[in-house]
Amino acid sequence: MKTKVPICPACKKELPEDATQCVYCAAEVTKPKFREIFSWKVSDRFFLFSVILLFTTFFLPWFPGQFLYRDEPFSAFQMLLSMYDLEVEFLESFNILRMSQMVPLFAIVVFFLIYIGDYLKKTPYPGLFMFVIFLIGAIPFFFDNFSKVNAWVLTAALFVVLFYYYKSGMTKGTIGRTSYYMFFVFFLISLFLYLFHLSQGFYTQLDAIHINETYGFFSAWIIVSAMIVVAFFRYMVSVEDFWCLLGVFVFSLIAYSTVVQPLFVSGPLRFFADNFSKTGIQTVAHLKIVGIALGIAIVAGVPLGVYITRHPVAAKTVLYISSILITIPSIAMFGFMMPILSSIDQNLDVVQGIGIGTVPAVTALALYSLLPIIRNTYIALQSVDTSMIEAGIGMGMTSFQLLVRVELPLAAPIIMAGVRTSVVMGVAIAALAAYIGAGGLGDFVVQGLQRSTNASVLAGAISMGLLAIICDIFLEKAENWVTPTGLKVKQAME
Amino acid sequence: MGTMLKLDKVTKIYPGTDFRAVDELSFELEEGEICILVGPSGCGKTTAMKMINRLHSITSGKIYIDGQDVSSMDTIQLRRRIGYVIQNVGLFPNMTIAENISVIPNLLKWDKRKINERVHSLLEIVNLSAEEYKDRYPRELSGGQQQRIGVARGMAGDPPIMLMDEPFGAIDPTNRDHLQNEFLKIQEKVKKTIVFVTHDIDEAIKMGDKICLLRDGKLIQFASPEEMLTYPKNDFVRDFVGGDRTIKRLNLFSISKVKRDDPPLIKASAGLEEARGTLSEYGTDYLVVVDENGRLAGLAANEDLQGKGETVADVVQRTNAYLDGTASLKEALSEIFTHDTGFLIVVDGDNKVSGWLDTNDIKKALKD
Amino acid sequence: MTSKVFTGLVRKGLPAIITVAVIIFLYKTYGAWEYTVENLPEFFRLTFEHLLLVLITMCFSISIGVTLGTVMTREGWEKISPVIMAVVNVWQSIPSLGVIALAYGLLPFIGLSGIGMVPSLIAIFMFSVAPVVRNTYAGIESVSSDIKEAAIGMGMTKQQILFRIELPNALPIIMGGIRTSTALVVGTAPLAFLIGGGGLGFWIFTGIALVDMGIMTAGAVPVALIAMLFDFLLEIGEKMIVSRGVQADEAQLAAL
Repeated sequence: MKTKVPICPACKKELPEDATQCVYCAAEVTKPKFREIFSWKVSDRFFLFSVILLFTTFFLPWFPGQFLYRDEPFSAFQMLLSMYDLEVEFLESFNILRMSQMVPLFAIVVFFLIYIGDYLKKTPYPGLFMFVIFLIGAIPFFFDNFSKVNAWVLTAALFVVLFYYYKSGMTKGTIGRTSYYMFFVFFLISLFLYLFHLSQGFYTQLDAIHINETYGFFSAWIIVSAMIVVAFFRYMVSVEDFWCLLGVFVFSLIAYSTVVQPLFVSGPLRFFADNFSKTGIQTVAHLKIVGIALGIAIVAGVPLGVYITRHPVAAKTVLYISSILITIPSIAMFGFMMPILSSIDQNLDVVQGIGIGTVPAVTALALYSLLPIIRNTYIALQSVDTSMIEAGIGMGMTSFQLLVRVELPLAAPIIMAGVRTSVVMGVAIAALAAYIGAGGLGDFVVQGLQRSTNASVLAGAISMGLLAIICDIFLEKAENWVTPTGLKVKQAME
Repeated sequence: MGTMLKLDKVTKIYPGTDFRAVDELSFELEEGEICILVGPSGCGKTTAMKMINRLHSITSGKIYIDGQDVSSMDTIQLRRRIGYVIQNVGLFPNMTIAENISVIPNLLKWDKRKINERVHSLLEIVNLSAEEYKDRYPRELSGGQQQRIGVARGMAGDPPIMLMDEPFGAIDPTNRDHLQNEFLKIQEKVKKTIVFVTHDIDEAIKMGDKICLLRDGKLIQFASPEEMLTYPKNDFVRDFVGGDRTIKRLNLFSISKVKRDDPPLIKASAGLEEARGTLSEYGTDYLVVVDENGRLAGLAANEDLQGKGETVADVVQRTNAYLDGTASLKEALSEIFTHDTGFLIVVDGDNKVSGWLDTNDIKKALKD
Repeated sequence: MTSKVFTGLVRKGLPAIITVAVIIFLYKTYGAWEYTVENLPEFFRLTFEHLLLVLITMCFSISIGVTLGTVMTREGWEKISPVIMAVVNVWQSIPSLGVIALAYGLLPFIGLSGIGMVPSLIAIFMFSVAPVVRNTYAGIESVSSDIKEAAIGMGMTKQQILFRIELPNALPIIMGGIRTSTALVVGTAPLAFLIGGGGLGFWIFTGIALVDMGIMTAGAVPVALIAMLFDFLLEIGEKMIVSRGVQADEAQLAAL
């Protein structure tokens, strides 16, 4: 890291910080000049650490040997030595192509968790992380599917394009936004490739294809390292930025070989890849349960909320009952719904009647979703400024017009917040509905636990977690949409 | 009465800036005096005050309390010795009134009975019934009451010095006036040395024994209110105290110091003839009619005395043209202009006539 | 006055009557009562396991959550705490079954078993600690700076400010977090059965699997009652330990 130290203007030697006279030439110092020197700081130690890590990874057997899914993992160095001896047979078992497209998807999971929303635009690291991972994923893909010469050409072209894209971002100081866009470009390309191959029925036959990825992996590794060196000498705007960036490179390489790759080999992402259409179907089933329940809850809850603002005695009772309902654990609630509903069912046939499956799930969910909606409607209407209501009455509005034109629009954001709570809760509870035969993403967990399939359990957990987070983020935005513009201006001014 | 508080070239520069928030501020304060730090916003008055209890560090210079340098004292101990009242009261909502007041005594580890007594006496001092209020919570009190509790809390540890940061700033004008008067009464009883920050010059003039006017961190004038109004040091002071500073000065005089002791008195039982004689003797238009005990009964005008009737009591008119001796000259002036008698009767607490005054007396007082 | 008594009765009594009616109905119709009586020792064992799960995780999430939330408000944590809060907020929206599944799926990666009491405890703890952390942090942050300034100006030490001013004033919000957390714990505890954590979930899931409403009801009713009991106890606890000066007043209570 560069720091400034005072130097004597006459003899150009270093001075203590508040010296008035030069220690070496005894010249009087009124205005010391400054010189930039290099001194070790925390970031430099980080750099040193990174270099050591990078160096070790070259010799450590787990990178990128394990990558190749061999019984005996070996290092990049060993791979370099035995580059021409490698036979394709041990590579056959590993489906590299699937990986190259799923890696970015996984990266999205990670970064939705870490850098939510706007934060993505401010930091370059997610984009760079993606960059590295994409290179590692894409280059083998080229080598698998094209002739060696073409693969090199494509790799070089991709590298040049990406590199200059980043470089321009860095020199303009817009690296954050650059990364942000890159992030989505990667995402779309990956998705496209995946769907393309899916439509070709590619994955089902893939195991039979012989792949020679030695060149691909090794060249990807070489290119990334070279990029670090080149960037180090020429293109970094600030030194400190670079140390962090370097850390990200190293981190991404390690993360890829330790976490991402195992997940692919046997883990949930492999599971997703294998069950792509099923995931979609279950997601839709999941959302259907939540959606219907939410619809019922809104249709019942909002009018009820409006009613209880007019009747304080009813308000206390209704809020108390619904708050009790929400304390009942969801699985117990399903436990109540099944017998109650099947007793309503005339056949009294539990297995085929309405006591099992979607109906009890939706009923239970609707009951849960009621409280946040009723409560938020109630609070929102209570908090509408009385002067506005008086103004409305003064203008000759009927109480219905008042409600629809004044009160509800003003209350909309808060009601929407209630909907958001309901939905997030609903996604969680609907997951359990798989146990009573309603389907949904919980099914993966249910089946996984029954068959002790770790990948399936994790796939279920990750997908339902993602669904909940996405719903949460989406509805947060929706809160903003339903806020009347006038209120937004006010908030902005505050 | 020694010097209680001394600031010696106190300077504050916030780290990372060149700006001197407080620049070589020096003044001394006697025991029992109220010193008002006043000035436009951003003049460094609050910073200056907060340096006294070291909520802000002192960049250079010294502050002495009772001869002791504050920078050599432990901050926690120092703050426990200084009463502190802030603008938004800052009562602890989780504690009852009694607990709020006894925070500092508790920190100082007084014994329980003493604390209890202290709470009772303080509530009495601030005019709140101890039995009724001590177990209430702050949010159950009105703003004015909370402020009084804030003052009581500041005084709880019996600190020699109190710092008050715009204590009445958030209170509406009517209540503020009332609280100011109450506070002055409390101060009569307890005689604390007080440093008081305000941006309101009227409040400063009313409350202060000394006013310390600051601008851009520099001391412009340190003087008693009267001196500041009479001899403003420069144009800034003149502007700050306002074009009506003469009128403001009237606030500083009470009527009893200015009044003349020889009002044109006449007993209500006196005959009209005698009254006419008295009237010509004084050469005024009105006579002040009193009853047997010397209490004010009304006025008798020249024309009334010419009319029918036997005694003055028959012709006397009720009047409002009188004020209590403790009122200020400003009120007196206003009263004089409200009534057409041309003078104002001064009464004491018993409604006994003790003197009178007219505009000439006020003029004379201002000249002195 | 009478109307107030009436309202109170309706408010507290009606739900109780409904609850009792539903319970009796369920127990009668499906023979849950007989099942419970027949398997009384097992019932007690499961209930004990269930309560153990709930109490242990609650102790951990309250102590660790409050500590972490408090530490996050201290000096030097200004940069880290927003990140923790962002993670906590996202973490909160992950479904309970998802967390259980994650414990099952991920714990083997760090060398622990994914099945049994310990992974259940870890999963429920991870799930329930978030609201405590969030509310503690938000509660202490929301204590007005005036009050803190007054406390500093009066010569309180940092510990005194924390324990006498900040925590007592943040207590209503912290208690809100603890109640949410407890609701999550009792709601997730039945799921512990899925990864071998025991508890009353055993009967519920067995009942579902066998499509035997009796067994299921015999499990679901005690679970619901335990949930209500904990909520009720915490409500009372809140009234006892939160200073009256900072408790939410009637109007706010009604809104809750």
